[in-house]
Amino acid sequence: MPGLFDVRLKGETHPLRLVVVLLSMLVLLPVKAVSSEPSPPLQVKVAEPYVDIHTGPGRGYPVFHVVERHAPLTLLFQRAGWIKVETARGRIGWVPRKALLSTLDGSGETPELQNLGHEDFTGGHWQASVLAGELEGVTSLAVGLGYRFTENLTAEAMFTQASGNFSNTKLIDFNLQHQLFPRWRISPYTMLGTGRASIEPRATLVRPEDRDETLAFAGAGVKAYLARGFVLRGEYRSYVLFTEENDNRNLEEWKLGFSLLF
Amino acid sequence: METRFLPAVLILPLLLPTAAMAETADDTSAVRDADPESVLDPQIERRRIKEADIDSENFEAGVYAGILSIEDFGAEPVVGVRLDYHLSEDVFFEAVLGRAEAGETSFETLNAGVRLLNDDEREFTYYQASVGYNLLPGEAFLSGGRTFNNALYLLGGAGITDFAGDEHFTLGVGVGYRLLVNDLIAVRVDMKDHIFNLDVLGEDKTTHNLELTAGVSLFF
Repeated sequence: MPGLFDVRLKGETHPLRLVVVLLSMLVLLPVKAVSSEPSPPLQVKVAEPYVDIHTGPGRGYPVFHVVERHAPLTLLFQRAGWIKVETARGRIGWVPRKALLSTLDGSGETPELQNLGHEDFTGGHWQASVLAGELEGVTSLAVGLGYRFTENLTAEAMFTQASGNFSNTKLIDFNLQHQLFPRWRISPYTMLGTGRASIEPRATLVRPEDRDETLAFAGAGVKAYLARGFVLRGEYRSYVLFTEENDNRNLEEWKLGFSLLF
Repeated sequence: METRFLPAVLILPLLLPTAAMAETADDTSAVRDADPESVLDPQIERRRIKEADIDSENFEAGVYAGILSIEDFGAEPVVGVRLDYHLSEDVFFEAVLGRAEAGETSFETLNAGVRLLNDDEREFTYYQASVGYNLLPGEAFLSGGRTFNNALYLLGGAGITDFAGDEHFTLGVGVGYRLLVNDLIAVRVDMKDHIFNLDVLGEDKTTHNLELTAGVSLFF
């Protein structure tokens, strides 16, 4: 029974085809970027005595220009905590995102910074996670993608693989996480989920059949907001596998990893 | 076959328009033409701006190709795809999926007819998640008027390697160099060690599989 990744990896698709697809993306993407340009530029006015403009997106890049109070700044795009800006005189450089706090927008207010974490919830955001753990004594690896749609609730899909000496287990699940105290820096959560498990026994002499079963689980964990957009995460899950024999199986798993919020 | 793509991958960014370069050219005229009044009393659109309204380009997707030295099975061409997320100026995260085809061990070459692995088992596929740290960010100067942002970074991560009919937990450590051709396109060179245990040759041993790749990626 091929798992999710096997379908993609072991199918007829030659790796070169992946390269071709990505290369065609290279050609198409810039066109898209150009065509979406005519939206009006985002402009702010400097409200502090001055704002330093750096040559690159990092604290080490030298300051080559200074924009004074009341002068406008056009916000081009943002990358890794830095914003590329253009001055009234056409100079292009970078300011840290926190520099927005030294400016005012057209309505005379300071632009609202996007909170990704335990501060006030300012809107839904994605959460990509990588976790390593132990599933019934076997090292497991998991990747997940979730969406936090209210201050308390996050929905997530996760793929887990545990390769042991006796079997190779793959789990796909969908879960709902509830953060009890979302504004705490170290924030506990509970979760409920359901999914499918595929268990391939690893045997050389006899070849037992692979098993594919439905599962449900409950879990609890802790998220620790370490930096903007970065969360350390640990959780415990208790699975129930609904096997075909009239005998449900329990599995336990510990996971530790991190999530990126974006 | 795969190696023929390598030059194409490297040449591509040079063919694409390098829009960001243009900015330095008209600097002097902009200074001369600027009207002081318009700078001091700018008319900006009356609208509320949130940070979330600014176009964010924190993701990087790309392809790479190079050589993977599979311990005991020779050095073979490898191709892969990568997806990165740049969290801050220091830290980024990367997911990769790569594939190579293992060659013959010297034992198989010397003993004609002996096959340790079948063709399917010789396929070397890895997927891995890593954390990257931009150790030495900076500017590179091509000529007087052209500067490129670049960085030397360290990578460390874990993943799974599907090889020799089995899936192996793998540690990956590496070092790489990224040069931004413009705001959109980066050229990268990576050197990485894939470390996992393999028992194909009788005993369980830790193998080091060194990979040297060059690639191009796009920010979006």
